[in-house]
Amino acid sequence: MEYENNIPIYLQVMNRIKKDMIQGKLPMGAKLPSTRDMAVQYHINPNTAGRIYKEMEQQNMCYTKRGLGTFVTEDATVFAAMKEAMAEEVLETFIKEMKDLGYSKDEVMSVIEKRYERETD
Amino acid sequence: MLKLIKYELRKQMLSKVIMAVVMVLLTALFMFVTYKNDHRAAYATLAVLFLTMVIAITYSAIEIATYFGKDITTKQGYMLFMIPYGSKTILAAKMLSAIVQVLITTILFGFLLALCVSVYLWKNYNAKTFFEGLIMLLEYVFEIDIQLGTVINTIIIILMFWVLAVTLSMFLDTVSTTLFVNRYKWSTIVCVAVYFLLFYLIIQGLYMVESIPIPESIFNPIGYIYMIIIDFALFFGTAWLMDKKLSI
Amino acid sequence: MLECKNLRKTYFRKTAVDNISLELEEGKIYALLGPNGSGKTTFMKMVAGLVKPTQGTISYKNQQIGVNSKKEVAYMSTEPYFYNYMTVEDVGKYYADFFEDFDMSAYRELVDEMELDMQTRVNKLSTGMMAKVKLAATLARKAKLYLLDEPLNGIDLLTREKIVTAILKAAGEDCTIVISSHLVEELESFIDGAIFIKNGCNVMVGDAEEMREIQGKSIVDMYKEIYA
Repeated sequence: MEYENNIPIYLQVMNRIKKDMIQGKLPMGAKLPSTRDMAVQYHINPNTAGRIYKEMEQQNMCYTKRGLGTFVTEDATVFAAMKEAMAEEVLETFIKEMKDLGYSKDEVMSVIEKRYERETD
Repeated sequence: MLKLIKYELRKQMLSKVIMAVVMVLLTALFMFVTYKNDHRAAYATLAVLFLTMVIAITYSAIEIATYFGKDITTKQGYMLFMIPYGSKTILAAKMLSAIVQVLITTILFGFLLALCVSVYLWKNYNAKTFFEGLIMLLEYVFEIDIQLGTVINTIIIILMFWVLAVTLSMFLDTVSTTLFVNRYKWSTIVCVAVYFLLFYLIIQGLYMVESIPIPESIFNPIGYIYMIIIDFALFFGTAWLMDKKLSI
Repeated sequence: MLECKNLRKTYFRKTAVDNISLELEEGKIYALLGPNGSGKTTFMKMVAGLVKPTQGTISYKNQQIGVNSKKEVAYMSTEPYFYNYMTVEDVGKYYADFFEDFDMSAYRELVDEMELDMQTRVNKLSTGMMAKVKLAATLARKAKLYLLDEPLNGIDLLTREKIVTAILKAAGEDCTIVISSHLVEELESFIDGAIFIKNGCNVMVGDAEEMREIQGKSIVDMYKEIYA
């Protein structure tokens, strides 16, 4: 995984994991890799891996069963909230960028319509 | 410390093997010429066997000094100085491995000599005791008067000189690597000259010490004590320099 | 766990280390960065006990560098140093004989991973293979402080991955790792802190994630700033 220069690494990895969860690569209840395996997989410090799990646990994205490991949450509402939050981020950036380019709200809507039509063809 | 000694011996294993092979070959040669009743050749072979032992022991001392020099000046030294052992332990291990090598050499020689003499006596004389035969042989070959006390004394003195030679060389090596590397590099000639000068001075000290009158006794230990003190002084001096000043 | 104050090392005509003062914490991975000749290797050798400082102090867990620190400090030098007669296996046995924290089976695994043969004589190894053996021997120790001097130099891309994996597996809360390297980008993603050395002095010690969060800069960015 390639990392961007000005965002903390742990955030970048967390976002990646969130995406994997939403896209179904890490479904509800799935077992997450150990901190050591995560460190090796993402080329990060085991400390960082631990921190990530801690943050994720605080956000109810996962839970730890003593001796068995860390698992993805089985709470569907959390998933939905995550999805919404991530979509919100993308939207925010999108709208700002389009505004910067001088698009009005109606123009933005029509561009989106056209794009989706093309995709279904 | 045993493991250190093991590795020190291992480093010098090749030269020991060569020495052993040469001595065994000489013994075989001796057997052959004895069988052929060539007495002069037999005495000559024994002399060469003795010479081989002397060369081997001398070479051991030089080899130990050379390896020590490599250990304190080249990257090979990392092997010794990264491991959790103090300088005193390392030096002691080197000294002990040196003594072990001398012992191996002399015991091998003694064994082969006994073998040769036994074979010679069996071939040329009837059942005289081994020691009588040995002394007779030595007196004939080397033309000296043998007494057991003198022999042991000579061996101890030789051993002490040998230990002094090795200790002094390790000390000087360390001094030149730690204290003098910043000012001027000693050329080889200077090193050798300083070595022999110090050796000479120490022996002079020995004579001075031995001439101090002490109450009559059979055994005068003062010479030995002097040598032991010198050896320990050099040993601890080397270890101190290694601990405080040595950078590889 | 490692503290240096005004560390200085001078040789006859040059100053290898001018003034280094720093403190390293347990459980972290540090990158030791700086151009050739800036004093990184000399610094590591002083911590390993191979070079004695001219001035200044180093203390490892509040003790002087010596027999006790050598039990827990594992140094991997850039130069080859094994005895000529040794095979790869002999190197392992040597380490096993003298380091209590050495794990022979871990060594065998690493040697295997790096596709080396235990029976090869060390004087028959190429530079790259020698580097792998040194690394395997060092990482097979469960040391408390690892000092790796340019561990990725002269190593092909795929093996570099294996080495980083080995380093990450060795990392943990109870040990500290210091890696000196030119290849800043390779280290960027997993180090906790970076120590920048310039002309024998440590210019700064930075916390990697903090620099990203607060200043929006990566280690590579900082490197370019400091040494430009």
